[in-house]
Amino acid sequence: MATAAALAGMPLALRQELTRETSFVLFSAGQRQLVAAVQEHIFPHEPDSPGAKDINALAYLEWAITAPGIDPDTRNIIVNGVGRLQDASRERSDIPFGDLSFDQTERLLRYLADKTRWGRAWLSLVLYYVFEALLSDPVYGGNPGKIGWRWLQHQPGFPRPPADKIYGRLG
Amino acid sequence: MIDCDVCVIGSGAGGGPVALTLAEAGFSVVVLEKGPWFTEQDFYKDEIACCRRNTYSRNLQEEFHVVEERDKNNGWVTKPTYDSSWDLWNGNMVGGSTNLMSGFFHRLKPRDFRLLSEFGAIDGANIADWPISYGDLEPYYTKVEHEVGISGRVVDHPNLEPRSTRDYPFRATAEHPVAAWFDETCKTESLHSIPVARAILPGQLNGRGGCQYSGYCGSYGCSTGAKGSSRAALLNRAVATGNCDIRPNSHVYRLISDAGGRVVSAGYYDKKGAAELIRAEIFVVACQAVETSRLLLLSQGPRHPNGLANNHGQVGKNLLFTTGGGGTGSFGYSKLNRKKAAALKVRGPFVNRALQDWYFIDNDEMGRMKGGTIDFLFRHPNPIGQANRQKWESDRLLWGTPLKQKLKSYFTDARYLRFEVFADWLPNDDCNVALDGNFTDKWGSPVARVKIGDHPHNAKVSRYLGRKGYRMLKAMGADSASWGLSSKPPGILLAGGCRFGIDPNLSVLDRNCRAHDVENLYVTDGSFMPTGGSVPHTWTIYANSFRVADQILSELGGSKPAIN
Repeated sequence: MATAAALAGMPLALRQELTRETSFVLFSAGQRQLVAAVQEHIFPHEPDSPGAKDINALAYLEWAITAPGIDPDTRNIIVNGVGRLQDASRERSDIPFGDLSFDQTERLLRYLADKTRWGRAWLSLVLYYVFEALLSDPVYGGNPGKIGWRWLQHQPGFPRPPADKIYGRLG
Repeated sequence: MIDCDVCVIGSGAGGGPVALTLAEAGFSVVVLEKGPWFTEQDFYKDEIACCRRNTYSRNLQEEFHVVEERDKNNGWVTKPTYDSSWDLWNGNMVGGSTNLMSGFFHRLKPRDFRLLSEFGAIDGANIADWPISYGDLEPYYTKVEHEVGISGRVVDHPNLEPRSTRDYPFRATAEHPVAAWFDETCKTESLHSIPVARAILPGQLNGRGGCQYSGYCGSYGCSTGAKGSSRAALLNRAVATGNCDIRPNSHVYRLISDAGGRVVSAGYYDKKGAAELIRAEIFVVACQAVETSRLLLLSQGPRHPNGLANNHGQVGKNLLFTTGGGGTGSFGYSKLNRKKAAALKVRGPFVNRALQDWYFIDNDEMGRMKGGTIDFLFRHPNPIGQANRQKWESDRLLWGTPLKQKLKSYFTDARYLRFEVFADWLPNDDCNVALDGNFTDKWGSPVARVKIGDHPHNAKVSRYLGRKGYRMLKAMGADSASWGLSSKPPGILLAGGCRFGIDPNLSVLDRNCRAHDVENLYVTDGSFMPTGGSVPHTWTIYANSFRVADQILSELGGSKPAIN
């Protein structure tokens, strides 16, 4: 769903490039650091509200893109985007992404979202999974202690899913 | 030599009534359902499983459709659904999409059965009268109220359809305080507030629990059995007779017919992918509109070289979607007094209100024509979907503090009342199902190619009704409201494709939904409908399936005597 929206209207060649099959199994330590930094930048911790780290956004994303039945395009876009972000950072500022200041990060991400189609699709999808980590049932590993629901005064439905009846374990 | 008396393919609103009726009458019934068999113990209020993944759908890489739709230049663009935002699978499980419906239940009106005679032809549309009347279906609408369990409260209004009973058999589900605001506004606006009947039980019945008012209903499976799914309300009872065998994960790929044109068996793949065959006296197809037409087209035979029941080239024609659009009004808590704000925040009970003041239109602005229904409901509470819609500020992706402030305000400052417009989707030559010439599914069968062309009249009526819905929200005191036409129809609530009629040259099924040229083949899902009406189809599909079940029973010679 979110992937289709992110890819909508994109030229076929770019789309094929972004969804190129990856041999992804797990993020490397460096990739984890980069993804966590992007997540925290776009969804920062603030005194009265949780940030990406508070909602386990990185671990959630890793689960989401390796879960059985995941749309391969989704996984490929996320994974390929990590490499592209590294390249873009070096190309535009000669500085590895991890060494950018807050303002430099903001300028780079803003450029990528506003001026590049891949960057827009990638950031939009990374943000989507931040929302899942914020607002899905805590049984999936995000939203610890219902922190996201409490922040937005969201009243969940009931009954809530037990661990043996979540997505991937039904049917 | 047969394996069962009746083989039913598909287990939703079209399959359930036939299975129950015949199993109760003592006939052996096998129901083949391509999806899994979930029960109340599998349904939780889990947005990920329900709505963000394809738990109840198919893997689009393996099974998909090809959609042909108009592009911006009025040409046609064709894409497989794994490569687009379309997903035409809907509720692939025992009980079908009735497990996931909201259960807003409306009957058609008598004039819906004779739309052509009443309102005349429209250029470019294939409008047809039905071969049966409202009077033929009324006893079955009433039967559904009892068998499926419909709750509500009948109030008199100008477009109330004739009823053989005074009221619904089950009291209305609990109403949200906003329903009273709606009623008051209707009085001042001289409109008729209609309490919407729901296929939801307010209390226990036959082992089913009553509604728990969790606030999550549509799109979700029901954890108590209160929702009148074909599974909870009908199939469980059919199984309990001992005469009905439900086989989940059974994908029927072909109906095999003999030299005389009769269907003799259904070929299907079981959960492990093994090919199986089942022989029956009578076959009933109810796979939802697209897949029903596809299965018939895939089932060529000696007397059916172009597909089963397709000797006149009518299978797949006149596919129907629903037309409409909708709108949303925002009611900010800060603009209400404390009591009203607290009332608005109540979660759980239903709005259950609709307007049908414009079900038929006759005025200077529009002339005389068929109109439709406007249903009112709260915006769906799924938080992930709602949050994701907040990330764009016009065309700019938001993040950081501005995004978080927007989220906080959206979720905590207001509640959102929506309306949905239901108007007729006019049948036309550009809306149909065929077999695709290029793509096949994982079993090697051609996939359905679905052409989705709408008639400009749809938008004209929907726009008129949309403006009325918008005015209602404003009259109720919405701080801001907006509405719009959908750019494409929803991929649910499909009908048509095998219309019933008198003339075999223009229809697939006879008035009893038996194929004109296949004596032991019936179609009982929404495929039979020549026109869709301007309400959700489900009640009508249930009712018609009970009607056809009685015909099949009569053909089989009535109930089998019980053997003690």
